[in-house]
Amino acid sequence: MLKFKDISLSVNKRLLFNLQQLDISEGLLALVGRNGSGKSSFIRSILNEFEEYSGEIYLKSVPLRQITKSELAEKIAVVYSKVDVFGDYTVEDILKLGRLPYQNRFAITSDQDNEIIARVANDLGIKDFLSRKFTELSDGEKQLVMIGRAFVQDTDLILMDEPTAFLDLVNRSKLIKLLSELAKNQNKLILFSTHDIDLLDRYCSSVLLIDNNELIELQSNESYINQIKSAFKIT
Amino acid sequence: MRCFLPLLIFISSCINHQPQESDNNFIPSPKSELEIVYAKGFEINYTANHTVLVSKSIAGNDYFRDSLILQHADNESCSAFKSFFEMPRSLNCQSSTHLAYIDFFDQLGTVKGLCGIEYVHPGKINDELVINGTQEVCLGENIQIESVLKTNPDLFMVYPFAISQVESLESNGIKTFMIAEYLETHPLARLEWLKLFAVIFEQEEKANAYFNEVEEEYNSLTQMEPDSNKKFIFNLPYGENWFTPSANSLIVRLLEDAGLYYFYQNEVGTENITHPQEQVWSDGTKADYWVIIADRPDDFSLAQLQEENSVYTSFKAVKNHQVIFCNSRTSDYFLTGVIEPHLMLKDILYATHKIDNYTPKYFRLLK
Amino acid sequence: MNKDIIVLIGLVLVVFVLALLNLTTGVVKIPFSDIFDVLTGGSVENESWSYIIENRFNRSIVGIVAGGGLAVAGLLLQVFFRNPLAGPGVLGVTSGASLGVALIILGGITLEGIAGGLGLFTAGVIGAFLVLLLLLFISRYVKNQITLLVVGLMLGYFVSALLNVLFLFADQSETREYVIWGLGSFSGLKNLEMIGFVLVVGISSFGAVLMAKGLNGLALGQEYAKSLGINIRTLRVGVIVVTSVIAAIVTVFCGPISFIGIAVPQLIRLISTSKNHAFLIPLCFVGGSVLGISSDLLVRLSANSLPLNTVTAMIGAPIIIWTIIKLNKSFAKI
Repeated sequence: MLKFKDISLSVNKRLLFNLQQLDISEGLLALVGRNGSGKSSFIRSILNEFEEYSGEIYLKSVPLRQITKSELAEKIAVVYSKVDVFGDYTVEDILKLGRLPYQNRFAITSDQDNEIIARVANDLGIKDFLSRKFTELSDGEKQLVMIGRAFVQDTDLILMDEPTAFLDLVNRSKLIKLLSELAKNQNKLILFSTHDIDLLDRYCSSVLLIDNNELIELQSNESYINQIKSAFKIT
Repeated sequence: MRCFLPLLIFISSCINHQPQESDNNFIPSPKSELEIVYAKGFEINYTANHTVLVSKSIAGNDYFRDSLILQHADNESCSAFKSFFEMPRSLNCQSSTHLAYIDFFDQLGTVKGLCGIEYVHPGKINDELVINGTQEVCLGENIQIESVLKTNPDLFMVYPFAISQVESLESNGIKTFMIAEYLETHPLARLEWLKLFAVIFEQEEKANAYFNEVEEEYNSLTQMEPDSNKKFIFNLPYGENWFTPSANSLIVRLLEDAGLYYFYQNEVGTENITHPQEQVWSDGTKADYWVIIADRPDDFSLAQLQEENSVYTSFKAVKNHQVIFCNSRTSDYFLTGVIEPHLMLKDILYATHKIDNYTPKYFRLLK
Repeated sequence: MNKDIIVLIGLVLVVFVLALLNLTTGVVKIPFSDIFDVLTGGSVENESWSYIIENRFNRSIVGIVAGGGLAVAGLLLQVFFRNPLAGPGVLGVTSGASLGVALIILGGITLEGIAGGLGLFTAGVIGAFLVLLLLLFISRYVKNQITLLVVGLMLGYFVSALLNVLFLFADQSETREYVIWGLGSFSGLKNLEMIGFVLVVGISSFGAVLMAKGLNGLALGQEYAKSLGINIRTLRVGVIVVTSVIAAIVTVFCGPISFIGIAVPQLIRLISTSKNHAFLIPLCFVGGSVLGISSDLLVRLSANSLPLNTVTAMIGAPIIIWTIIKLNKSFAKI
C-alpha cells in the first residue's frame, strides 16, 4: 500500500534517516525510535505536510506529492496523541467530523454518513456513549472516539502519532489489541508510532525502527523487543 | 457644596469683628456704590471696611455661594482666606467669556492664564492675549495645577461646577472665585456682571455709564409681547438628541424680547432640555423660525444646512428662509456678545424685518 | 437539527415583530395607516413624518444587519482562535477600525458624501485588518488563549491612548463628531448607504457560510482540520477578510458596538443542537439581529437618552457572564 524509495529525510538540513526501499501492506505496524529520531516527521511526510525529503513515497503506486490535500483526506486518516476539542461536542458530533472530506461546503450529513458512523460505533464498542459529551469522557474513551473518527473517515491507511502516550497501561494494551483486530478484519494499514515496545510482539504484523540515521523493518521471525533492545544496547 | 460652609463662617467672622457701633459712625466707602438691578447671581455688599463680592446660585440650580472680600484699609484684619488688601492684579480665567468683561476695562493684561486659548478665535482679544503672553492652563477641561502655579495668579475665576478642581486649586494656595454669568435669565443681567468686574478693577463709573446706556437701548427695542405666530425652535442636534435651552434661559429671553415665541415655551428647567430628534423633526415643520448658534465654516449657507440632514428641507423655517444663524466660529458671540445684548437684539429684529438699515454683528438670516 | 430550524424560524419571527414595534413606536405618534402609506411610496400630511418613518425603517434594517454581522464575526473569531471569549470588540478588531476612523475624522480629512463613506470604510478595514494580522502573528508564538485576549484588550487601550493624543490636536467640532460616533447608533444612514451596508454585511456573512466546512473541521484543531482536507491558509484568509470587513463597516457606520459579537455566538451554541456552521452562522446572524433591533428599540424607548453602546453593554454583559458560568465545565481551559 505504501512504498518508499530512496528516502532521505532531514530537518533544518540535519539528516534524520535514510530509507532505500520499503514496501508495506495491510496490518498493524509500529514505528519505534528514540525522541527526535524522526518518527513524527516521517508520519507528517506521509500526510504531505512535511516536504523536506528527497526520494519518493507512493500511496497505492501514486506518488504522494501528486495527491492534493483534499484527495488525501479520503485516503489517509490520522490520530494524534491528544486532541483539544473546542465546543460542547457529543461523541456523535466528533464522529461526524470524520465524514467531512466527503461532504460539500455546507457539510450536510447524509444517510450514508450516518450508516458508517453507526457501523464504526458498533465495531469499536462506543455506540452506548454516542450522545455523551466528549469533554466528560476519560482519556482512554476520548482516544477511542478519536480512533473511531479516523475509521469513520473510511480510509485504507490510518496514521497514529503516539496514540497511547497519555493512556494508562491497561488502556494501552486494550487499544493496541483492538487496533490489531480492526486492521486484520477490515484490511487496513494502521501505522502508529510508540515508545511502548512490550506489546509489539503480540499484536504487530511488522515493526519499523529508526536508529543510527536508518529506518529499517525488523525481521518478523525474531522477537521485535529483542531486536529493539539490542539496537538501543539495552540488556 | 460642603466646602463653602467654612468659607461662610470665615466671612461672618470677618463681619463680626466689626464693632457694633460701626453703623453709627458710618464712613462712606471711597468708591461710588453700584446698584444691581437685573442680575440674581451676584451681590456687592458694602460695609465700612470691606466690599464683599458674593456670587451665588440662582433658584433652581445646584446650590453654591462664594465670596470675595476686598478690604478698604489695612488697619482691619480679617482672617478669611479670600480677602484682598489690594485689588487682584493677576488673573486666571476658566472661561473665555470672562475676557469680554475684562477687555471692557482694558485689563486683558491682567489675564496671565486661560482655559482653552485655542478656542479664542482670531481678533482683537486674541491678539492681545498673544502680546501679553497669556498661558494655557488647562488640558481639555482639566485645570493643570502646575501651569496655574507658574502663572501665579492672585485670583482664579472658575465655573461653579468644577468643585474638585477648585478644592485642589485652593489647597495649592490659589484663591478662586466662582463666576456663573451664564446662569442668568436675562441678557441685561448677564451684562450686569460687568459691575462685579468693575469693583475688582475699580472702574465703577465706566461700568455704570455703559450699563445704563445699553439698558436704555435694549429696553427701548424690546417688543411688548412674544407673538405666538412667530414660533421658533433652537439649535442643532447632538447625535440623536437636540439639546435646547430651557424656556427661562437668557437666550430665549432675548429672542422673546425680539417678539419671537419659543416653541418649547412650557418647558422650564435650569439649563438645557433634551428633545429626541423625532420630536424636533415633527415640530420643525410647524416652527416659523429656527435659531442656530453653531460652529460652521465662514460662508455657511442654507443649502449646506440642508445637506447636513435632508429632513431640514421639510422645516417651515428652511422653506421660508427664516433660519437665523450665529456662527460661533467667526463671530464673537461668546466674547463681546456677552456685553452687547442690545446689538444681538437688533440683529434679531433686523432678521425678522422689524428694523431696516442696519448691519448685523452676531446673527444673520441664512441665505 | 430540526429543533434548530424551529429556533431559526422563531428568531426570524421575533426580529420581524421587534422591527414592526420599532417602526410604530416613538415620541411622535404616527397612525399605522400613514406608516404603511409612507413605506409603500405614498405621501402623508405631515411632511416630517416621511422622514421619521424612513429613519425608523433604515435604523431597524441597519440594527438587524449590524447585529447579525457582528454576531457572525464573533462566531468566526471564536472558532478560529478557539476562544469562547473572543469577539471583534475583545480582540481589538473594533479598536483597529476605530483608529482608522479616528485618523480620518480627527485628522481633519473631510470627504463629502459617498467618497466620505468609502474613505472611512477603507480606513476602518485597514485598521481592523492590521489588528487581525498582529493577532495572528502573536497567536503563532503564544498558544495560551488568555494571552491573546489580554493582547486584544491592550490593543484597545493602546488605541484609546493614541486617540487621546489625537484629541489634543483636533479642533472642537472634530472632537464632538468623534464623541457622538463613539456612543454608537444605528441611525443616520441614508437609503443608498443603507443598501451598500446591507450588501456588504450580507455578502460577507454569506461568505462565512461558504466556509462552514472548514470551520467545522477547526473544532478538532488545525492539525486534525488539515488531515480532513481543510485548506487552513485559505480559511485563515477568509476568516480575516470576513471579520475585518464586517467589523469595519459596522464600526464606521454605527460606532464601536461592543458585546453583541461575544454574547450571541455563546448563546446560540447553548441553544442549538447542530455543530454544523452552515446552520450556526445563520442562527448567529438572526440571534445578533434580535439583539441589534431590541437594543435600538430600547434606545428609542428611552427617548434616545441611553446611547446604543450603553444598551448593548447592559444586555450583553450579563449574557456573557451567565454563559461563562454555564460553559465553564466544557471550556475548562481557555
